[in-house]
Amino acid sequence: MEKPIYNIETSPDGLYHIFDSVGVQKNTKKMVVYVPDENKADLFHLIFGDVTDDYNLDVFAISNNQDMKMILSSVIQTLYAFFEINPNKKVFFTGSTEARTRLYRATISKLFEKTELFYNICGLLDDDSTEPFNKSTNYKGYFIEKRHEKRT
Amino acid sequence: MKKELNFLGIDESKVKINPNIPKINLETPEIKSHLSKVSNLLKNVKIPF
Repeated sequence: MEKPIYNIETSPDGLYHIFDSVGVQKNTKKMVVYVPDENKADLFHLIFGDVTDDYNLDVFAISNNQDMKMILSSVIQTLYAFFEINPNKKVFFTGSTEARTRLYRATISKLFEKTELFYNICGLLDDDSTEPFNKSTNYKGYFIEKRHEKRT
Repeated sequence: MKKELNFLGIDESKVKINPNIPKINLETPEIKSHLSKVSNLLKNVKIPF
C-alpha cells in the first residue's frame, strides 16, 4: 500500500525540493533545502518550511492544513531523492522547535523498521554523544546516511 | 531508488526533477538563526558513521 505523499519537484543537485500542501482553506508551498555545513565536510542540514510570497523560507510556520502526516512523509521522501543524487553525503536534521523534533522522531519510528535496510540513522543525545536510533529515546537531532551494500 | 521506494510503499512517480526550482533566500535572520543553533548543537559532536 502506497504512502500518500505530495508531488515533489526536486532540483538536479538534489538540494532543493518543493511541494504544495493542500488544505481546506488554502494551499501552502513547502520547501525542503539541504544546506552544506560550513565546518564539517560531507554534512548537510535539512531545513524545511513554508515558502513566503517573497521567496523566503518560514521555518516556524504553522499552516494547520490537517495534513501533517502527508507533509512529513513528503519531507522523508526528499531524503531518498537527496541520497540518490548525493549517495556519499550525510544529513543532520532537527526541528525548528522541540515539538517538531519530537514529531520527527515519531515519523522516523514508523518508518524505521523498513528504512534501516537502506539507511543508517543515529540520534544525538543531550551529552553530545550519538547512538543508533532508538524509537523510545528523546534526541536533539538525527543523523542519516545511505547504507552502502559493500563496505571495506 | 526505485527498489527502495517500492519497498517502502512510496510512489516514485511523485518525484520529478525540475531545473527551474526557485532558489530561496537562505540569508534571512530566521534561517541564519536556525543554522547557527544547529551549528552550536554540533560544535562538540563527533559525526557518526
